[in-house]
Amino acid sequence: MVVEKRDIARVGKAMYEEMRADMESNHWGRMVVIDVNSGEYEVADDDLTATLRLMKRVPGAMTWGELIGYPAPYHMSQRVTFTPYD
Amino acid sequence: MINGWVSSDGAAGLQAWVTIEVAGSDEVFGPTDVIVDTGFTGWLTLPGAVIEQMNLDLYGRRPAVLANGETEILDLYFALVQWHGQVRPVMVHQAGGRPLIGMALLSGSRLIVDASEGGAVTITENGDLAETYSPD
Repeated sequence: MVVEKRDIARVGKAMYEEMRADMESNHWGRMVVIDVNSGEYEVADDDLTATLRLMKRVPGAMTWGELIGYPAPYHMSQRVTFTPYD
Repeated sequence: MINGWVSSDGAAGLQAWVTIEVAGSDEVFGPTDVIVDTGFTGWLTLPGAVIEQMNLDLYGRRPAVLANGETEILDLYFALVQWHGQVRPVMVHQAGGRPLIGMALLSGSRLIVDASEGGAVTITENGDLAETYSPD
């Protein structure tokens, strides 16, 4: 399965919901990074470590990431603007 | 040591700038001026046009809480940064406005800002100098 760029968040969130209970019990405060094409994932203390580990194991992975137990892994300043796809 | 400068941008106030060398997976480094933003928890943000020009690899997307409290989904790219004489892999969030570096990149460094217009910004490797803040 190749997930379209605009669907990465939707598919990634759905995959995370399936594993959320297990992740919150065992990995609170760590980062989980999921390949939305294969469902393969890695857990690590930070996003970069988890992502690089996953990219090595699954070349070409397209990733979604969650900070386990928290709403979002990143906080951005007010200087940032962005253009949403959808 | 990474050196920079403080500039004033009218109502936006003072900004601490440094120039860093950034590359994609082709490892062709080029200078980029970035604002040091200790309120940003990630490594680096770049505008879409710069990401396209540097041909960075898309690694996925991530949720981020903006200053207004809204959660948005940002594109996540991979880049390399020259940092204290070493090449460091970093995550890049695509975001408009000026490029930012955040606390994930600054982790392990000492940041000194002379916060007045024209003041100096220095980022040094913290190493053994690390001191821990104790609130008493």
